[in-house]
Amino acid sequence: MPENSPTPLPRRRFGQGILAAVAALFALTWRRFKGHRFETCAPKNSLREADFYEIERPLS
Amino acid sequence: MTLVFGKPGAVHIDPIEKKPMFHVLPGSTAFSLATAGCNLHCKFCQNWELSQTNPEDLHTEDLPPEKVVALARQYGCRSIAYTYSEPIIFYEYTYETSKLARQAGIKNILVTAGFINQKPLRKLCSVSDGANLDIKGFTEDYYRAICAGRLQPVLDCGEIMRQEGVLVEVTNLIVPTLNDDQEMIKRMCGWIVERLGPETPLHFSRFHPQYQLKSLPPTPVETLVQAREVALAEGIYYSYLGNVPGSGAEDTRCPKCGALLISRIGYQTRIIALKNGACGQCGQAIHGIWS
Repeated sequence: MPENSPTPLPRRRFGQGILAAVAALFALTWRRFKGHRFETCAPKNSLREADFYEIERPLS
Repeated sequence: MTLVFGKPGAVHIDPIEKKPMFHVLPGSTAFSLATAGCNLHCKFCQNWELSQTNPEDLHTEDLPPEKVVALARQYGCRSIAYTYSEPIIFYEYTYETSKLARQAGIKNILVTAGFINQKPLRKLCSVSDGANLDIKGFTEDYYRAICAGRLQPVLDCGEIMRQEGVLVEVTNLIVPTLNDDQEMIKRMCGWIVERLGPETPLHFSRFHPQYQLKSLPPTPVETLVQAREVALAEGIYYSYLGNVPGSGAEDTRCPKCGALLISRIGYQTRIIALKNGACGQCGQAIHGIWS
């Protein structure tokens, strides 16, 4: 709240930051829900990664 | 005839640092009130919804002077601040409340633009303890174009307050491109040192886009820092930055030995080395109302 004021300042930047954080969290959760993983988040040699290579391997 | 006696549109309990008053009862709370209206029309007013409206257009509380003083006592406020809009507009309300507050041992603080005639000012000073005087710029042109007022009566107000024994702190809101000329700030500081005394605390306050000046950016912090350096170089003992929490320029230091007397971050206040109104390290008397 600014000096000598009964009302708060418009916190545009702060509000935008919160909005961006909520949007990022939502995107992350949604992707996880859909079964995707970001490469940087996936542990190496995880089952999911192994599955991925399994699928990619030629069938012959 | 006043339409606002006993009818404040804003009532809050604030840290006294928010007024801003840094040299009156630091760390205490001020029972703060305001009615509708102002005799200036500053384009940057941050409280314009209160100051630039009519009494009949504002939701008000029924709060006669006796009730104000009773509430201030009930909530442990050591002062009553007549603030947010302009106490000169609710002069009668301020005066009557101040008289009762005095009797109850509560200090009275005016937060004012100081655009008032001398005779009523002297009367008001007789019941006031401290004042934050807003010097909005240091040219007549600025006052005329941006505030719809005049500078000279404001300067006279500062001098009269000092003569009458009111502790004066000065605030200067720096608006980018309009009153951020460091030469002008230097002249203002010189006037303060000469006419109000170097011990007068000076607050440089950061502008945020408001009311009719939404097209301007907030004041760059560097501009405020530079203004403070100018003030200190001109001989002002205590200069602070407002609306820049955590800048380090909110602390009170001894003008003689530099000891940290009062530490402030935002509205968090901690008394460090102030002892009985003097520096605990070198004994230098510090200007203020401390008890």
